[in-house]
Amino acid sequence: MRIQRSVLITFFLFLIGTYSPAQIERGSLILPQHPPELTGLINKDQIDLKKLRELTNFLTNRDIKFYQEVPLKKRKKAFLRHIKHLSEKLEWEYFNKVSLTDSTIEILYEMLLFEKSMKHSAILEANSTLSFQQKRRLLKNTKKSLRMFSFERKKTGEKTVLQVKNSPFWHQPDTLAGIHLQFDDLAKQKKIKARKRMVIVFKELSYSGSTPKIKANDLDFDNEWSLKWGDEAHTDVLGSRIFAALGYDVDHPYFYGEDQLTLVFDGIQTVKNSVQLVDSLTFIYGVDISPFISTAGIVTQEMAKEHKKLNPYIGFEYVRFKKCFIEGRPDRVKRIGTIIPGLLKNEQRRELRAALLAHAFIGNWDTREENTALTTVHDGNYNYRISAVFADLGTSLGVKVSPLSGDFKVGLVNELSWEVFQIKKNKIILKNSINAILKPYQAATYEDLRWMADKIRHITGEMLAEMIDEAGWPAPIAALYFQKMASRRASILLAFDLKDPHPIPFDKMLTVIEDGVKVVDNGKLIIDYEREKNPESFLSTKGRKRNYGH
Amino acid sequence: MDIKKTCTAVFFCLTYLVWGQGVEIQRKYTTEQISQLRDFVLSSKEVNEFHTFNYASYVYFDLYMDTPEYTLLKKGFSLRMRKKCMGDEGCFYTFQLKSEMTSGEGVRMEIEEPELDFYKLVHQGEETNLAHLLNLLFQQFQSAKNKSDLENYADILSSIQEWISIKANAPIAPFQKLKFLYPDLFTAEKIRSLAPKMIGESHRHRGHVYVGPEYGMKKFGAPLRNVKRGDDEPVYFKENSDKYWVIESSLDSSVFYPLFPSSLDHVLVQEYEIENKYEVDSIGMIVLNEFEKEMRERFALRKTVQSKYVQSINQLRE
Repeated sequence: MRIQRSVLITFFLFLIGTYSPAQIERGSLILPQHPPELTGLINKDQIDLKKLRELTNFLTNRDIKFYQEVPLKKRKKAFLRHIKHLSEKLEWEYFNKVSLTDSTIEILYEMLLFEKSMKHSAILEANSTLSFQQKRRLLKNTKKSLRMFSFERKKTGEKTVLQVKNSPFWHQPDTLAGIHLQFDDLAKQKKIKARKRMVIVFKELSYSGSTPKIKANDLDFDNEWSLKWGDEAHTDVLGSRIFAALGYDVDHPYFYGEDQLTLVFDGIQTVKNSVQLVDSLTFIYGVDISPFISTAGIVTQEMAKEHKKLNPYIGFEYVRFKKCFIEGRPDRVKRIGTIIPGLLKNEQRRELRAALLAHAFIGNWDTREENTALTTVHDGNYNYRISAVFADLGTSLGVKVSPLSGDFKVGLVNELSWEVFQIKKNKIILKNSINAILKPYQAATYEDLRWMADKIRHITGEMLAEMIDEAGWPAPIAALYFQKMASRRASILLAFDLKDPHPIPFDKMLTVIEDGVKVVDNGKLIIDYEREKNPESFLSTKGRKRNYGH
Repeated sequence: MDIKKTCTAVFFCLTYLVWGQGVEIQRKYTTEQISQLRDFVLSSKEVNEFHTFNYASYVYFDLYMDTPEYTLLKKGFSLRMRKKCMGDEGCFYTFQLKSEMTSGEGVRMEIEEPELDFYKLVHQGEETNLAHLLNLLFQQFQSAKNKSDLENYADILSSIQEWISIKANAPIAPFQKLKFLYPDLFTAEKIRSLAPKMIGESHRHRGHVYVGPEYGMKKFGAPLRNVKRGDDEPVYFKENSDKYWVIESSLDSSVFYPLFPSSLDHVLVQEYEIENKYEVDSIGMIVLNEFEKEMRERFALRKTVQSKYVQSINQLRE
């Protein structure tokens, strides 16, 4: 009996040791009613070969460089392969006079999504500098969104939570050890390897977005990373893990605290040391990152002894930081464009409409389409999979927008409300400001949000604590966030009359005293906690556009 | 002077057309000292600060195509279906369109359909794929006594031509490129007229040429470590982080047989090829020049710009 038990334990340990995430199935894209663009590709009961070839040619011909006079993004090899595999399946069916099947329709959906995404994103990219009118609209949405999402409460039993099939937009989280590990599973699928202590090599400057960032490679040169600084360092990490736990594909940000990450300059790229780095980022983003720098110096033989791969860089400059975050840009994932929430009837998709509540749960503000990505993922052996990503989830967890200066600040724990919904008799009102009210969010129904609430209730206290821990906040701030997120979760379940299988106790009157100093009082952060170590500040409302008050 | 200006303008136009769309910077040479060169390559010798590492011997099989009027040849292109046998890695099949070198600097366009096994077709009533069919073709080529006898391959070539005919308007990379460059010339009808012109076999000794960190430091003030290549970087350099890949070399010995009436039974081509592998082209070019200088002196290399197709087909058509 004892032997049997030890064999079982050994077998179990072996299973854990060899556990690797299951291949993600693509899921279905078919909608109850096909978009007209799709029916246009069908002639009677067959594919229209001419139109299919035009579509494939647009997607794969690198000489087609413009759409409506705006430049298209360069098509990557993996994407060309992916499309050609799909197109050839359809051509073969055509020449063999095979009648249309669901699998044929699935391919057409996929190709159309890529086409519209490429075209639409090229136009968005060309107009990425916001006009005054656009800025005004974002501010208007910020206010309007606080009033517009009001729903009649419906008396529905526990069992009436509707089900949604897996699709490239959402997957039922499927993790043996808990949904909070979905983020790590997705990272493994994409071959993203973040180490506890990272050394990366400067590659090039970045010019997109408003968060100061650069591109870098890890020492194996296997993965590219985007290295960033600022107020999203903690929030992006938690936001992405929560979205992944709820079933969405995400980008992969990792927080690094004091001196945990070393950035090396190889001497041949445009930026060769920390001074040039600070100057370049100040010029591009208007943000001075020098308060985030902890040390800078020359790579020594001692350092190379610790990290053998640093050998070629002995004598070159490096810099370390008080805090920063890096986001994986794996070779296996190619970004094609946005997930085009407003096209191809995508607003019909419950998983997209319900994302409104996921955003509200983490208090995300910047819900613009540009913060999504339609990707092609190489699963190995030339198997490619389409996947929709929710990116840049860091403008969350307490946001303060300053209309006059055009500035905003995120990660202000005191700005994050304790409740997600205001409940008024038979009405619930979503209390989250968003700057873009995308078509699926406009179309969201009570049932859609209830479906998402059902996903949120599967997050347990332990899961929440682990995810918050990965975000790297100082202990008092992390404790306050835990209480607030537990409270927000409870308010969501209450709004939808969902039983809580794992109630998470929370204390709205939390008080934290550290070394005799009151840091959190009655559920409120009351001091600018360790400002030197946290240059972005957890209290100051001055954001990136006002240089975090420095 | 005017001619010089025109040539320069044509070169820049061509460079502009092909830049960033599968461009290689490579140079080719012939020499009378082929056995000494072979000995150098096979024994991974050094020349000044350049180290060589002969890592593989590959066998390539090629089927070249052109129109009845040799339109591709006249426009400076070669089009081939290739089987690459790379030792333990296995065999791979590709469909390639290459331009002739546009100058002595060795800029060459290469457009490739890199996988052929998912292109299905029917051969002798059976469903198969293009890669499999090419494998059959080259097996027959290897076993044929008279390799230039079209009858050996008639059935297979007819199926391949049928595939070309069906795909003339399809988004196949070489066809897309031809239509883009010469839309009036390379119509679907013209592409349908493509037919096999010669078949052959090449034995290729592949080698890496690398430098140590001190080379880059001395010349450019920085080591020449490629940072962007990722998966393209050979394992040898991933395992030897102090060796920096700057050039890839190959010593080819090829024999081609005509698939049309010719006074020659076959043509033999022997050449040495080097290609820049350092990611900053301007620096890569300087390194390439230096390596070339050393090698030319040592083995009396003569630069050649013609592709194997041009060298062979011109002789076979004489």
